Amino acid sequence: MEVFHEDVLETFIFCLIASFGIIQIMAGIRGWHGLSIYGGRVRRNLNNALGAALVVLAYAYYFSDPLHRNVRNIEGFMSLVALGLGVVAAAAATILLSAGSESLRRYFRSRKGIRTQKSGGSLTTISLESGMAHLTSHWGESGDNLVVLAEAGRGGERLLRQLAAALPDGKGMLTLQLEPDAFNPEDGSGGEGGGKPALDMLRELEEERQLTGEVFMGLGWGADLLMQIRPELEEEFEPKHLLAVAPVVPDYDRGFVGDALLSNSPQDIGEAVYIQRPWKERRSVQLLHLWIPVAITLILLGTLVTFIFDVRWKLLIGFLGGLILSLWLAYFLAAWRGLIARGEGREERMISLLRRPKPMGGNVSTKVIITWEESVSIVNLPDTERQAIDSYRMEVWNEVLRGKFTLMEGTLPRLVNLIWEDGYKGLQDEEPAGVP
Amino acid sequence: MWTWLLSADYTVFNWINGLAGRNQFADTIMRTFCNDHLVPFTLGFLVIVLALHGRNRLQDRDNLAAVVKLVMTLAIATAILQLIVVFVHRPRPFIDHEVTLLFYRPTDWSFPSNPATATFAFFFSVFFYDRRFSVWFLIPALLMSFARVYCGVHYPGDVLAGILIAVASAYIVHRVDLISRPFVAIVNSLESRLRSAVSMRE
Repeated sequence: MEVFHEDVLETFIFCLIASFGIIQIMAGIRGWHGLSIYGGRVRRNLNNALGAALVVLAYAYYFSDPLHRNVRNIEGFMSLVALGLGVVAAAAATILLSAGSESLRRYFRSRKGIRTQKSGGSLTTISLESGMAHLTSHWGESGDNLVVLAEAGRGGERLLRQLAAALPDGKGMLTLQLEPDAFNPEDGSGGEGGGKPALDMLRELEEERQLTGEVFMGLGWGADLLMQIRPELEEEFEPKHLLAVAPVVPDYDRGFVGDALLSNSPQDIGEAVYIQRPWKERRSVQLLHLWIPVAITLILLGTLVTFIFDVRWKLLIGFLGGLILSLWLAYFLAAWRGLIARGEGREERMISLLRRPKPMGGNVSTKVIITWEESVSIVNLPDTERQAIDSYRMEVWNEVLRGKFTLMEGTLPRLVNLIWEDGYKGLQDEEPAGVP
Repeated sequence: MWTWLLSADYTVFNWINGLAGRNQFADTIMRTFCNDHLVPFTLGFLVIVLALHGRNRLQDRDNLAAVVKLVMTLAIATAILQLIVVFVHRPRPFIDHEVTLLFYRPTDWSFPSNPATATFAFFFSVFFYDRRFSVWFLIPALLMSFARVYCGVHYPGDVLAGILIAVASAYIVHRVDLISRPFVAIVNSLESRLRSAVSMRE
């Protein structure tokens, strides 16, 4: 069989460019700001124009060659391979470009921040049993300090540094950053979802700093944590007020915990998955132990069959055939051994850890800031939960993205004003600079 | 019976292929759709749209499951086609008859039509999932199949057999959940892991 190497390459390039264009159009339509290849927000019109241009370019490039019209060239199987590889390469290019552009945006934003902000961004780190605490060098009078429950694990440090740098003079900040496992449904923490470790950390830190009467704020998952331990916080630390910024509002009924593509770059997603260490979870290890022997056996058998029947590309076909069959077989073996059960995915387990919101009680003023991602989730909440959230003092920051929180100029000063203005007066009804 | 079927097949072929060579514009259009790459790749790109066109994660999961089933339909249809080719060796129309050939001379067997099998496998697999969306797949599939007969490289019977293989494969995959369940579960699990990795960043 004649193989047209040059055509395979050209076909691959055609598929890559066209697929990349289509992915851009779809990312724009879906509003997946995390997949913006030029950093910042995804712009629908720009993506449509770019995507359409790429698709037209790809078709023009490929079909302008007379060899790709009515001439025999690569066979169907190779076309399929080129298509598959082209789509995968287009997805990889989207991931790399969006991660790269977002990293660059953050780098330049932080450099700009260093030039324009006062030198209050340095934090002292204290290692604790359940995580880390970061302290600003200055600690103000009682009620003038901020205690932040940050997201567990690494990744949000730059946001915390920027927040510390944006604090007014005379204000201090203490940040609690739990170990990644603390909010992990796999850790067997008795269904407390990081609540107990967070309270333990606060108690431990109170020996060094007086935390009673300060403002307590949660960021992202930390905001969910804050809402969960609110009664204990009120009882033990008598906060000045509570502020939950960008809590994740799950879709309790459908079993979804947010959508990372809405604003997190592929790098953020990769980091978040990496700190979860899914390959170390007990269930994953059990599944791997089950699958590997099955895969080795079936790959060897598949390769043997390709040699017996003299199939083309013996090693590749044997390997792929065996691999696919092993996944199929291992799934049923795992189900039979009880390793796979409906409703036991990570998301379902996380939702079971997150208590459903309850109507606001207690004496401490609690404010919830909802970003663009969650503004839709709240509308879709069941009535009871929605009413519970409505009972809080809620502000919807529709122009702010959780995964690109400082993208909109003036978001941090707006937040700082909200933290320090007594009774949340001041800027709460004003739009930040740069809001269209 | 068999002779009658072959004769009827040839008669219909003559009607359609007889249209070729009369109008240059129509010939150009048919040549375009007869192309080995245009329609199959376009359908391949439409699968990306199918995968990503949902409005929320629930729809995305269903769409991903539909893509998995589509790939399995293609695999099963190809396997059936290859099996038939082992036993049935029908020469191309231009080998046995005087035809108006608007295409290059393919060297493989005529029955069943490979492009019809593939393009209708795309269509039927999507049809069993989302009838409205499947229209996008039907039009190119119909055009390509008709063009293959118009250009003189397939008998209508070849195309019909391809369509039957495609509909049977799609039906089996969508009806017998056991075939696709493991792969749908794997894809859903990956989707869940990645898209729930929500974090707050600067």
